[in-house]
Amino acid sequence: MKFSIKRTAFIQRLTNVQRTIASKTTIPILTGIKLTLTNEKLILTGSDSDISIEAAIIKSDDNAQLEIEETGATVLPARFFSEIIKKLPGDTFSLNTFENQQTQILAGKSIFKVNGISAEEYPHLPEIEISQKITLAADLLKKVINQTVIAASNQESRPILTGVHLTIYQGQLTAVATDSHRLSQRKIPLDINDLNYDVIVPSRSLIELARMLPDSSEKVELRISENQMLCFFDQTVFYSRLLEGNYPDTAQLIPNNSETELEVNANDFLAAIDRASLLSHEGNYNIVKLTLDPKQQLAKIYGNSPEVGTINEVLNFESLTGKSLEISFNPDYMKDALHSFGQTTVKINFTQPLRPFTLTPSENQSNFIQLITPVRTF
Amino acid sequence: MGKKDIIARQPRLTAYFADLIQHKKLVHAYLLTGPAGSGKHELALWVAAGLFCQHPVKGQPCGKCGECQRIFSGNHPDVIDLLPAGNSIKVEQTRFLKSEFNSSGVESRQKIIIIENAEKMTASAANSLLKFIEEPSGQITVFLLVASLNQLLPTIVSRCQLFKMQLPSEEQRIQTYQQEGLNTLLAGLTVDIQTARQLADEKTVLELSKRLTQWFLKILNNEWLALVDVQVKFMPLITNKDEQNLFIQLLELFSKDLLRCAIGTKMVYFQDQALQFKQRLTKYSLTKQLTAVELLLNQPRLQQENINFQNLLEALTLQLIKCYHG
Repeated sequence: MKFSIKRTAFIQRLTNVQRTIASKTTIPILTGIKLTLTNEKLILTGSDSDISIEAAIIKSDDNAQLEIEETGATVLPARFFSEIIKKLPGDTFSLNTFENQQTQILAGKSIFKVNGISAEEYPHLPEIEISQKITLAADLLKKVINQTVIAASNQESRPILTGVHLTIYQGQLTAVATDSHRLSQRKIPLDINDLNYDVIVPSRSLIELARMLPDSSEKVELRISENQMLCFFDQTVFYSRLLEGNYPDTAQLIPNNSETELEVNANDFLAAIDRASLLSHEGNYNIVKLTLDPKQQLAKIYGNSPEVGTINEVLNFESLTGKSLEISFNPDYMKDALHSFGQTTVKINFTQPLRPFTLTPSENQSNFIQLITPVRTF
Repeated sequence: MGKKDIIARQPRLTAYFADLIQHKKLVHAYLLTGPAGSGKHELALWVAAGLFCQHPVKGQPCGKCGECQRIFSGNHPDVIDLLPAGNSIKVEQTRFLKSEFNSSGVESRQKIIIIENAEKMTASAANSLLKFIEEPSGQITVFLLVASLNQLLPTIVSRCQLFKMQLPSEEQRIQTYQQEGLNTLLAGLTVDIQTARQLADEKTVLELSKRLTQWFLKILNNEWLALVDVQVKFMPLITNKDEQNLFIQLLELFSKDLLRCAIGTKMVYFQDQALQFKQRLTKYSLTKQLTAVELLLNQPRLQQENINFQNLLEALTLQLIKCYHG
């Protein structure tokens, strides 16, 4: 393998890939970064076995000035390699691999020789047929991820709940996450009809993916294999392993009817909950109480800590209908849920004091739903 | 450790597993038992290689293709090899293990997890394992490697398929060790010729066994200096728990030899001084000889009870002298 390239362009790609590489790993080769040079592009690969990232620099990219002399592949120790590249003098450097995997890095008057490992030893990432792809906008995917991962569990006791359940059925993508106290579900229409998938993706992977996705409506491609999910965007391939097991059936958890409905501005309500939670965080029980009285058109929120004191606030709302109700819940779940709505009005549907209640955006009630389980109080 | 080697050492098990792989009948959990060096780990890797190999011959791995190479060099992402760090499987490793049980493989769905020294699993690790082996999900095969079954939770044992490693008999071992120019004493200590070579190189074992025989001769001669030997000869060489265990093992082997003497056959492990022992031991009644053996065999239990090792040996010396001469 022999090539020369502009350093800044290379470093940009390298940092993207390097975020996956863990310092501690059970598989020695994963401390390395794989370089593959084909006739058209240079591919950098990094992996911690859960997440793998491939970033390519194409020959036609003017910023990179990639000059390919001889194709090939090698694996270099990531920690040293990135430090070396960052500290090299000059704008460009060249890299040359010899037969015994020794790699020479040349820049200006400095020459590094690094011992590489055969690329054959590196994990083989799955290849998935290009026909089985799902295209959607990057910012939309990012939104779907950010709206659902908040509800995913971070407890190891039920590992399956640490993932987000993605189902693609009849041209619709449904993402659901729950930690058994709350649930978040987002649906988006897709422009394909013939693909059906049912997978569980670790929320950690999705959070990482959301961080990397561009903030534009640029198209990204999703492909799903039996053991990995792939996401293509901007000359980058993001691989995530899937979780094995059966995700609980969440459809039946979401109530269809409601007895009390409250419509509020998400931001205002968030601020009120935030104030109420100031005191509830102090006590042993992190709960706030919401009292709704449609007859008198009154909604009150009450937070209490036996040691510190209490808070009472009368809420502003858009509308309040149905039966009167008193319900207690964990304010942190409510805050996370409200955050995910952004600047909009939210419709909250209650059934009974001990039944879960739902939050939906007022204008579009079927695509996005958050569910929170109340707390029993005496 | 080459692949030929494991086939030669475990012909029955390798043939059995090759058959399973060929017919795709591997179950989700296997428990391999056998002392250190009996080839448990090699067998588990061999099975993994057989499963992933690109050119398997009747379920046996070729050992040459990329997959086999990666498995034997520990670089295959779907063959997970867990070795407890230190005395128990640590929290971090447990977490890793749990997540591995619940995620798909990196390259395909097929996965192999090998847990070495499985008896060192903490309760939480054992429970997460139990969860998996009760309701296996995905295509995962777990190999648990233990020295002895009794140290593992019975609930785990009952849910695994059990295999005992085939061990060469002691006579065979003594023969091969003699051919290799190794002391026969080592045949009693380990079944693995590599470990035996290592022990022979370290010399501690041989030196300890020499001092042990000298100490015992003193006891038989009713020399009270034997008591001083504990402090002067043994303790400098026994500085840590491993060496204590080694010494206890030597005592066990020695008691075997004493028994052999008592019934009039040749001593096997401590041949160097065999004649002197024979002459002296014949003077004592069989009951006395057996009592002495019993005293020796009592030591492992006492050591487990955390009695100071020097105290233990000194008490043993006094008891032995009393037994023979009292």
